[in-house]
Order: sequence, then C-alpha cells, then structure tokens
Amino acid sequence: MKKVIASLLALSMVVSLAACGSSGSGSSGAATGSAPAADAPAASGSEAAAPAAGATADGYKSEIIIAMADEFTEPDPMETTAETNQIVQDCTHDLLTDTNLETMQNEGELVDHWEMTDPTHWTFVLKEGVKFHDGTILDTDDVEFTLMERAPKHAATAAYAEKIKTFTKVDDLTFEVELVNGDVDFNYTFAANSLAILSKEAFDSMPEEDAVKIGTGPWMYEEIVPGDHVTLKRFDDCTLYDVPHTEKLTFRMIPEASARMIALENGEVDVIMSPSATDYDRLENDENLELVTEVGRGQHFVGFNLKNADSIVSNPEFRRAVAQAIDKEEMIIAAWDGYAEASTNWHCRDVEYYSEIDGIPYDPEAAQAAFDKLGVDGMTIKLVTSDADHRQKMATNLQSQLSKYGLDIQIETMQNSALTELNTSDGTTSGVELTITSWTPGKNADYMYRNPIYSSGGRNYCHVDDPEIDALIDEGAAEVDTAKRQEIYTTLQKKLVEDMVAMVPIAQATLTLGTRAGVTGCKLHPGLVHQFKEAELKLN
Amino acid sequence: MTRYIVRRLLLMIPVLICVTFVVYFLMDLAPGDVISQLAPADATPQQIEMLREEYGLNGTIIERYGRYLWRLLHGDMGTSFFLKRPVFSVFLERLPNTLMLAFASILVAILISLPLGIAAATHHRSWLDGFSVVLSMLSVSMPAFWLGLLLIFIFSLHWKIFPSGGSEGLKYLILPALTLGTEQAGNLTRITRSSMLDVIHQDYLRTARAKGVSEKKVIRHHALRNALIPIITVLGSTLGNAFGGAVAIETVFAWNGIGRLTVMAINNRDMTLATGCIFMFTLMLNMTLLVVDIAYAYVDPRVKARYSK
Repeated sequence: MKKVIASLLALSMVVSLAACGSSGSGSSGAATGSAPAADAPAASGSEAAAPAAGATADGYKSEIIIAMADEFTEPDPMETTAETNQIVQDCTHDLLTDTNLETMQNEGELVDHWEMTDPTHWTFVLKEGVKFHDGTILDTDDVEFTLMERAPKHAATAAYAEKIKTFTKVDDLTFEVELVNGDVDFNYTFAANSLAILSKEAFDSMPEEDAVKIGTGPWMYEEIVPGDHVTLKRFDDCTLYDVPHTEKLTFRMIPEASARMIALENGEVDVIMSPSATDYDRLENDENLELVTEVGRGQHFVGFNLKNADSIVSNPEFRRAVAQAIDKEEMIIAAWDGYAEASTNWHCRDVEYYSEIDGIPYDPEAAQAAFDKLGVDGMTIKLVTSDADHRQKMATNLQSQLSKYGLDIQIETMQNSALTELNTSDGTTSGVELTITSWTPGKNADYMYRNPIYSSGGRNYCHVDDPEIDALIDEGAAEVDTAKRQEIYTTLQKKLVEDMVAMVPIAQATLTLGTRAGVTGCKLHPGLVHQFKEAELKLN
Repeated sequence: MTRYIVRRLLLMIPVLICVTFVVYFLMDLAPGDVISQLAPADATPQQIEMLREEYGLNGTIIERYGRYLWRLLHGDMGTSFFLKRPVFSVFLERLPNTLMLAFASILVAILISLPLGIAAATHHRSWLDGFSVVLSMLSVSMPAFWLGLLLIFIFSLHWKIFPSGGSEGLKYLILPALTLGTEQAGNLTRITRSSMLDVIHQDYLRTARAKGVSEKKVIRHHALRNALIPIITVLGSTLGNAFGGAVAIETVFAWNGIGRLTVMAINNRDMTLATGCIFMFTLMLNMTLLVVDIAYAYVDPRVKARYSK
C-alpha cells in the first residue's frame, strides 16, 4: 500500500512539474507566448509544435519584447525625466518637435512647420488629422491645455512653461507664442520628452490616471504590471508613422545585465538595453544576435574644481599638464573596451555649432616638463567619481597614467546622486579637486553650456565662474545669424578647453543595444531615449 | 499563553520604531539627494525647493522623521517618491511574489535537508555523512547570486528547460526557489544532522529498538520528533533569511517581489519606500518568529506546560 502511495506521489510530482513547465507559456502570453517557434526556448514546448504561433499573417513576429534594466514607473510624461519611462512614453506620445535620429536635426513631429517672427514671437502650425488614442483629433486646444494648463504644475515641465508669456490660438491648427525672453532655439524646447502633447478631451472625460495614457503615438497602453512589464498594442489609426507589422510591444524589466543577455540568447526577449561591454563580442560573433551601436551624446570628462584655491588644480599650468598627460585612447580601451570616440572638445559632435578644435593633444614630454617645473612629484590629489563601472575604470586608468609622473590620485567613489550633490555644492569648501563625470546635453548648443558651464548653472561641476564665458553663452543663445553664432561657439569651445582648461574632455561613449538578428526599427538616441516605435522582426 | 503572545506583540513596537529610526537616518546620512534624481537637469533652485516641499523633504531630519513616524502611527506609510503611489499598496502588490518565493525556497530547503540530515545522522561517519557535510558547507559558502547565474546558465541557456527570469507563472518560480532553497538547505542539513545525532543514541531509542520497534519507526516517530525543536527554531530564522536572500535573488531572476523593490528604493534614495519595505520585513520576521515560538508548544508538551503555568 505504501509503495502504491509513494508511486502515486511521485507521479503527481512529475505531472505538476510538467504542468509548471507548460503553464507559463499558456498563461503568460504577454511575455513568452509570441516567441517565434523556430528558436523559442524549449520551455515553450507548445510553440515548437505550432510554427505559426507568435507570427502575424504577413510573417512578422507579432510581439517584440524589449528587456530594460530599470523599472517603468510612470505613464505621465510630465511626471518623470527618467529615460526608462520616456522610452515607453516615446512610443505612446508625440512631441511638437523632435530630433530626427537619421539627420539629427530638430524637425516637426506634431507640428507641420513653424516660423520665428523674432526671437520672442513664434508661430507653429500643427499637422492635420492627427488622432489621439481616444479617437479625438489633435488641435490647438490640446496644445494650450498641455503647455499652459498642465505643464506649469509639474516640476519636470514648469521651467519650459515659464518661457511662454502668452499663448494665442489662431485657428484649430495654428498657434502663436510670445516668449518672456528671446530664444532663437525655442523650437528645441518643444522636443523635451516631458512636453508630450496630451488630449484635453481625455482629461475632461476620464480620470487623470487614464487620461495621461492617451497620446497620439503608434502604440497605446494595454497592460502595466508594475515592476514586471508594460505591454503596448499597436494603434492602427496612427497617421504620423507607418504602422509597424508588430502587433504588441512589451518592455520587460530585467535588472541584471547578464540575465538580460541570457534572455536574449535564449530567445525570451528580442532586444536588450545596456548590454555589458563584456558581452559585445558574443553579440557580434553570434550569427543569431546583433550589436547595434551609435555614438552617444554624453561627454565624459575629467573636471577640475576651479574654485578649490587650496589645491594645485586651481593652477592653469597644472591643468594643462594633466590634459597633456592623459592618453585618451588608453582610457577608452580601459573604460569601454574601445567602444567610444575620443573627444578634443567639450561640445558634443552631434550638437549644433560643433567645431573641430585641437583641444590639448596628448604630449607626455610636455606634461613631464610641466610637472617637473611645478614640482608635483609625490603630490596627492583627491578624485571623486560615481560607482558606475566605466567611471571607476576611467578613474583607475587615470590614477595609473598620472602615477608615471609621480602624482598620487586618491579615488573616492560614491553613488551618482551623491556625486552630483558634492560636485554642485560650494566648490570652495567641497574639498573636491578632480572629478570624473559626464554631461548629456539636450539638443541645442545652449544646453551644452547653460547648466554645466554658466556661472549660475545648476550642474556647474567645474565651478566655472568667468564673466567672459557667461557673456559668450548669452551671446550665442541670442544671436540669430548662424555664421556669427558659429563664430561665438567656436570661441567658447576653444576658450573653455584650450585656454582655461576647465576640464579634459575624454570621450563620447558608444551607445549599444543587443538584438536578435533581423530586428529592425530600433533607433539609438544619443540622449538615451531610444526609439522602438517601428521595431519589427521578419520571421524566416 | 495569550499573555505571552500579547507581551511579544507589545515588545515588537519598540523594535519596529528602532528599525524605522535606523533606516530613516541611515538613508538620510547616505550621500546623495533624491531630489537631484527627480528634478530635471536644468531645474532652477525654486523648482528644486518646490519638489522638496512636494515630497515632504523640507525641514531638519528630526522634523522629517517626526512627520514620518506620526503618519506611520496613523497607518500611513507615505508615498513612494519614484513610484508616486502609497508605499503600503506597492508593498502589498509585490508581497505575494516574495511570499511565494520564500515558502517555495523553504520547501526546497526542507526537501533537501531533512532526508540528507537524517541520512547523515543514521549513517554517521559513512561516505553519506561526509557527502552531506561537504554539500552543506558548499551551499552555505556559495554566493546565492552566483548559484543563480549558474542555474540560469545550465537550465535556461543550455538545456532550455526554464525561463531565465520573470515572475509570470510557476515555471518562473522554480529556478529562484531552487537557488534560495539550496542556500538555506546547508544550515538546515547541519542542524538536522546534529539534532538527530543528539537524540539517536538516547536510552529511550535503545529501549524502543529493544522492544522490537522497526528502525524506520524509531527514526520517524521517536528520534525525528524529538529532534524537531532545534530544526523548527532554525526554520523560523530560515524564513527570515529567505526574505533577506530574496533581495539578491529577485534581482538576478527579475522576480517582481519586495526584495527587488527594496533594492530599487535604496538605489533611488526613495526614503519612504525603503523604510516602509524594511519596516514590513521586520514586522513579518517578528511575526514569523512568534509563530515559531508558538509552534514549539505543539511540538514539545514541556514547553506548552510551561506556558500554561
């Protein structure tokens, strides 16, 4: 009898294990149900028997699954500036203007065209017949509601709304704005992701938490499982974009880089964000996978605290010598396995008015001579940086490079928000001498300087406080003539990097995505808000 | 017995207040400001101040903690800075996943450790005993996240039996439960073995054998029952360890539970969420230990008799 019971128990365990193995694929279609039969994990056993499962009628994969490191927390574009949220929101909502990732130019997205009468007066004309997910048609009421009614109430958008003095509706598609201060780049303001246009009618007719999900993008929210995944379904009435073949787009949160990579290799996901640099080789060499790369807009640099009068970093000769002593190529290999482009300039390459300046070239002999003259042998310098892997590698590489000249770099590592807080605190008392950090600007030239370089800027990590620099930044922002603007920005770039040596620009790191072979429509955004609106995969 | 339970429940109050105090102050002392992560890069000082007030982060640390504690005493655990939702509802939303993982891992640990511990004790100084010792040492010393990655590599990437991560069904539970359970099994095996060894040579067992009771019955009914008290004690703390271990395991397996939520809260300096999660963890652990203590009474009549007095 006991043997019979034991056998029955063993049998029931085997059956329940088998049930466990198949229950997930049946019940969780959102995440795995649509994996292609050809190379789906064996766990989805039922799919192997049905090759058509997970494919659209025209042979495309019906669901694209994207693995992200961070959690999607907020569907309201005005409530967040986190890239993870903005990546999803970019699929569901549209902006008045946006950067064309092919040309890197600011172009109209919901706006058809615009005109600057003078730097304080602008006229914008919306595209006709753009539909929201709730079926209503976009008009100037929606724009006025978004910019004038909702934006001032949110911290992420209040600064943009404050730029507008008056908003005038000319007709259903045309509106004029008068600015508080002249801004020749005002069209870039509308490219801020948090200024996505919302439907006024949706807010009038449904609860706010549902209304914020209504946009004009090619995807609409289907399911949000906090901490796990977000599933979007295709919006077939979208007129702004060619509707992709993909029917569903799912963003899954997988915090560990190695787990994301395995999920990709396993066919559980189609795209992974932020693959580890150690996996680049596997992505490039595996015929079933691809490594998508793009030069990022983040400028990684070694910054000097110019306000630390007690430190030798306040001496421009020392700063120049450090700049001459740094072999950027060596640092790029150490920090990014070579996946970065060396910078000679603070100004990022894809930002308007970039100039090919020489910067301060690597010159170890000149550096040695300068260090000898300054008598720094045996001197200790404190460097602060964040716990990000590449920054720590940059820091230890710098430590090793400068040790050849007798300089002892003491590295202090902290969490990124702590680093930002320390670097932006009073430079005379913070004790910081050197810092390794980065700046990812917005889309126009003024963003390159207004916050991190202007004397009153909120992210003035190097504590630059120079009236001439401030004046150049103001002139650059106000100048209408593009040739003159180019001249101003070139002067600014040279002064900052070659004369003042406020920082040593190191590199713009390469942004990467890992995908399954054949996935198209994934566009890397230099500002990290990558686009997946048109993601699709043609099945063989 | 009731008095004992009430006394234990009352003792929990200062413990919980101490925990909130320590976590809240540590989160505040840690360098880094949540506002610098929430504010846009080009936010003006006025906007930063506006955010600080919106999130109740204005005033001194004592004032802020005082406000937090006052709300907590009224049953309000606050709102998460990042998720912008009440901490309690976020916690409840993810609690079932963590409980499922914790109990599944305990089940795995019991299934491994009880037979292994008993076998090691009954075959004392045999190869089986040696094997159990090596295995327990290995499971105790192996980092759980490493074992997790190893299991993903074997069962997910190589054999393609289980998914590498997620939390959408039972099949997603197996690898994390196996990882966490294996980690817990080491200690439990050692305790089972040593408790069994303690009782296995007692006179009453010899008497039972002399009376002709079968060896299986001796082990199951006489030895194991008497060895259970220390095992149950460890089981209570094992559940606590499982909650703690879930922090790493949930991250590795993208399991949507409290552990991962706590990591996210700490990384993002989400003070209310981190304090709330740790407060609830402590509460759960205390409750578990209380239940374990009560369970003694049912296992050991001597304990029950003491409580009755």
